[in-house]
Amino acid sequence: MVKQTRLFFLFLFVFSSCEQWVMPQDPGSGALEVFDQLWEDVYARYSFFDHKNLDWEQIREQYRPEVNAEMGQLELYELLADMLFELRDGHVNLSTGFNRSRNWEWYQEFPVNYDENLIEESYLGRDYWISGPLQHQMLDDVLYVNYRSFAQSISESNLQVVVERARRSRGVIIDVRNNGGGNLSNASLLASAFAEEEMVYARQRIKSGPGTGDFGSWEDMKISPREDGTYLGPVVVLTNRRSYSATTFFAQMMKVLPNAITLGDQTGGGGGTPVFGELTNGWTYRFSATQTIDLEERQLEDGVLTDLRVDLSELAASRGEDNLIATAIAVIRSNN
Amino acid sequence: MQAYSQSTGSLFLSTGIQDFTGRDQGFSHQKYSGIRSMSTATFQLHKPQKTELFQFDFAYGPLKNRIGNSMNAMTIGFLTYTYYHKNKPEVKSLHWGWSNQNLFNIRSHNGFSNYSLRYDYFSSLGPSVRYIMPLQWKGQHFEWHTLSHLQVVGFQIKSGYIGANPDGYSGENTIMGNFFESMEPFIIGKDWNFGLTSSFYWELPSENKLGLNYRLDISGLQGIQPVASFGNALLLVLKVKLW
Repeated sequence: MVKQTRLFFLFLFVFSSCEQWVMPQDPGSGALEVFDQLWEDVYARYSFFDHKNLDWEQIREQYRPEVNAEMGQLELYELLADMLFELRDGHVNLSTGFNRSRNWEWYQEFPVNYDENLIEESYLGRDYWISGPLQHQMLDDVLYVNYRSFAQSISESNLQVVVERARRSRGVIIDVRNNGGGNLSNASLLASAFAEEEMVYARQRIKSGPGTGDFGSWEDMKISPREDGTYLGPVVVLTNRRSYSATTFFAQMMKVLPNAITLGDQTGGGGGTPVFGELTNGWTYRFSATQTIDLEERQLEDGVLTDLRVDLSELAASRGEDNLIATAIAVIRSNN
Repeated sequence: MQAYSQSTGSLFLSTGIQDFTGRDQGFSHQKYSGIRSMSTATFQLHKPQKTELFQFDFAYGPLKNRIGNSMNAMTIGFLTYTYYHKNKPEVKSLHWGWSNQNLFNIRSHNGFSNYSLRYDYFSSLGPSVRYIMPLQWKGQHFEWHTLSHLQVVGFQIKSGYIGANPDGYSGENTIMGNFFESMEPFIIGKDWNFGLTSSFYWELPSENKLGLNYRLDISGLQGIQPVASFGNALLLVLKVKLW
């Protein structure tokens, strides 16, 4: 008995000690180790190095010599934020608790083309309808719908109200200017209300290995008609440079529909779905890990171009008019 | 006196806690640890020269890493053991046999908005051994069972480099087509799965048994995003004799 028990505990001790072998300790949390963790993960999983012609190894050569063991958290954050800024990608952030790095150049260097006060005063007025996140108002015989964030979910009943009002109009304007994105399923649901048949609107591929060109195969992205009813009359979608991420996808969905056009300025992009990661010092980050192209193989990361390029006129705005909405109304009426 | 020419069937029901540590490099290079609840149900079919065990495992619980990020991890397993032995009363004995492990792990990261779900599955075969030692103390009957298995060869399916679906999976293919496209071999040396279970039973007057079970599970699946886990569990067991 004693012999067997000893053998058993010896056996148990040996295998219990395997934990260190099966699962080595976590990497360290010193400044240099944190820098290397972030740089290596971005190098292994970021999806736009080739498309943006970025040399990530050269960026490492540029930033790594500035890292030292004595540097404080703020200094390290600023260095890492500067390194990530080089990716020129709105889906790249480093979150530290005390600050969140970002690159918003995709809209900051371009005309705003949107005035929320003007919309409220001249178009929505005081009696506009609110159906979940959708704000809508009849502008004579055209339905104007404003959706400010795809992060706010639309319900089927919200959408049904819009579809029924649209059916009593000559056309619909969907204003997604300044809509910075959110959940892609909300974009698909809204677009489904205007689709007559299932259509491929884009193709997406995901990183499948550490090489800058390692991707899975292109997969079709489709929209399908809404089962509870659709509106197939003319639709104009208003976009600007601050229409980003899920809003870029929405613009592309609408662009392929035969009854819809896009108007305004191109979207800001955001065609890569972000993947998340964490550093051993407690900071988290995200960056794009997919690529999406339209039917002409143009990257959605570069934004969706509009069918009609129109900027907001300061003169029109001073008269209380949004000339993008005015143009959209004219387009709809010319289709009837 | 039991008629050893006949077969007997028993059911083992156990529940307890598992100290679990896992690392999925598709999420992070950091370890996630925590105490999970664990339950198992095992049916044992004892025949004159062969004993088979069919074990269903379930474990679920929250895990945290050292910086406080969390995930929920669930394990569902189906493990069979087959032992070959002589037709004689249960005395102190060592039995050799083989085992088939089917293990599915799914993890949901609570801090990541996209690609927050990852899983792995493998099915494999390998040798197994058990040691049984009946004991008597102050007129009471006790039994110490220890069994272990080491998986050698099989196949595995794991989440992809970024997303939950395995690389090679395509929404356009058939289920079987996707299954074969996503499958990779499980080969000892590259991949690991080892388990050890040691139980101490006290025989009740009803011929059922009450026991305490210690369990060790070690797994490691290599590939483009390696996954590893290590679990120690302590379970309370009730063995019910069915016939």
